[in-house]
Amino acid sequence: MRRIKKEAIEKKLKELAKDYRIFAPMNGDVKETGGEFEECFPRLSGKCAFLPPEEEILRYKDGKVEETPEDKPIILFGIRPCDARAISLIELAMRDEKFPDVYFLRKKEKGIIISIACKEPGDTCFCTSFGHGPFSTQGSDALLVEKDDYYLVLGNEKFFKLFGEGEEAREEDKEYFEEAKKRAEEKIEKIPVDNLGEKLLSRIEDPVWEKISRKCLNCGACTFLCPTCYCFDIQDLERSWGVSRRRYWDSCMFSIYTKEASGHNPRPTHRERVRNRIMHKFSYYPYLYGEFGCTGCGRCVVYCPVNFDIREVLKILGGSG
Amino acid sequence: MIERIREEARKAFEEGKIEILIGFGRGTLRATPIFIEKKEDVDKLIWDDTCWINLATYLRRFRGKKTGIVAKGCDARSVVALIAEKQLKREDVYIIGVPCQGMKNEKGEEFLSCRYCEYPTPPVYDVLVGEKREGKKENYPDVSEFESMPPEKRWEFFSEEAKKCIRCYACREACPMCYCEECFVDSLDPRWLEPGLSLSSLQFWHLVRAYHQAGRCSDCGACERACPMDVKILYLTRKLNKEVRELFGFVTGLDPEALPPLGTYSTEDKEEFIL
Ligand code: SF4
Ligand code: SF4
Ligand code: SF4
Ligand code: SF4
Repeated sequence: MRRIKKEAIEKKLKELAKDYRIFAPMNGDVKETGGEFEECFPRLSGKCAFLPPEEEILRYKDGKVEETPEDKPIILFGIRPCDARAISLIELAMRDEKFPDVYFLRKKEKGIIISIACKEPGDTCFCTSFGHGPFSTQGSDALLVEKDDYYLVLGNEKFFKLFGEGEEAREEDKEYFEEAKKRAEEKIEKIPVDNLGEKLLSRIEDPVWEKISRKCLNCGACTFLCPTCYCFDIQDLERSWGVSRRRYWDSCMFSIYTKEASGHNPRPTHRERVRNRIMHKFSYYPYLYGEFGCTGCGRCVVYCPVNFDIREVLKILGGSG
Repeated sequence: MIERIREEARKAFEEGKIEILIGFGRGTLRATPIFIEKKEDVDKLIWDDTCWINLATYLRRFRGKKTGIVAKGCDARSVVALIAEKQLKREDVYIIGVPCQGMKNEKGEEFLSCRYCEYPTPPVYDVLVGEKREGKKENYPDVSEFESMPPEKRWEFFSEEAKKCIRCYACREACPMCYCEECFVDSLDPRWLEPGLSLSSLQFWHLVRAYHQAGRCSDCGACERACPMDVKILYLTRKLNKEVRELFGFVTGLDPEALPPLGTYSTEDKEEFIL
């Protein structure tokens, strides 16, 4: 563990804005900044940096296809550890053997992710349920813990090369780290998730889905704000100079998401759509990649207009609620 | 109040008036919609100032079933508007009307829609629980304020609000009147507007959504409360509601027989806005 002056990191971040695109929480959401950031739990998550709501992937111009050139590398700074984890979870899907997602991966490979530990987790956080927590380092090139005018840093070479090494952490820093970690973790509700994937699969036709899903409006709020939801749609748009092929966030909660050209919709109602959202995160994801597709950030709980609470749903389906 | 609602709900089940009841139950953060199918469960019903949702939005899912709904003034007006548009049959809906005390946000502030609410008491109901409440007669002071801004300022305000939108359509889904089989934003052929978050697309989406509500919106405010991005959208529908009132003398959701002005015509219609 190292300790680096906050000032030094803040200054460095502004300098790096020349050669990097900096994304950080600002006015409540993660957005591109000139190196400024704000200490908060952002509403729009860290995924905005690597999978923006809208991006061009290629152009068709003068009879030729042009791939969209690579932009400057990304530094994602000041997000919570759960958002850093989320990006590593998205990466599992994007690294598909047959169809790797080059647009995401090229950004991810050159990018740097720096998170700040949550000393004060929120009431809707349940990240510890998945074996990680408010001080988790998974997916981060560095985890910073605020202490007075210093950051205590658990980082890798990539981070120290850019931001400097500061000094060796003291004994009391390490104690502070452990204590703050313990205190934060104790505040978080743990939802039992043992064998959840199999349990869900065995209940796929259970009438309980109708009950659970009834109040869902099938809007896109939960999935757009979810840091691990990565579904997108691709559309070709006419421009005066040719065609721009772009991708946009999409959501399995929308009825048109699965609507086929024939008009048939294999997920016709809220029941099938909600089931898909839950099954994808808690059954298909562990089956395919060995990890749950949820970090327990609680955004879908907070921002759902009808208070659909995924924690309650997991308790019911996992047999503990 | 809660006891009266439960009592009327129980009675409605016992007398065979309803097969299912849409009401509010205790959620984890605030009141949450619940769907009750047997009278033993009516004790799950609650009533407080976090009953933000307009429950009328769920009614179409239960068409053909005798459906009860616990409705505040604006919710009941949406039910009436849905009946007027032939989306529901009056005899299929059993309205347990609740004179509304006004809804509040997490900070305890009353919502705009409630601050100026003219019809806290449902104008149409099957049974009313509690004393009637008087509405306010202020005729959209918030809209007048917006109207008094110079055009550039209004454009700027509109653009700044539209920019915050991520097109999650929570506002659309929360609205009982947004029931089109295919929303204009989802149509690919013709493609009325582009996907994505360009300013012009967002402006287009916000304007057309509001236009489609003219004379149909009950000012419930459920759309704005549903928005995760805190986008102000009510001022647009409220402006149109004010216009519809001034031009056609029409108020949404008071009479199940009255067609909304844009769904009908009369030789008396004012024409001053037509070129
Ligand atoms: S769970 Fe909530 S936020 Fe998600 S689609 Fe349903 S209503 Fe919208
Ligand atoms: S808690 Fe909800 S928003 Fe957060 S990662 Fe899990 S599903 Fe996504
Ligand atoms: S537009 Fe908004 S205020 Fe009007 S009825 Fe729909 S949800 Fe209510
Ligand atoms: S709910 Fe808000 S963010 Fe979502 S589409 Fe409506 S205005 Fe836009």
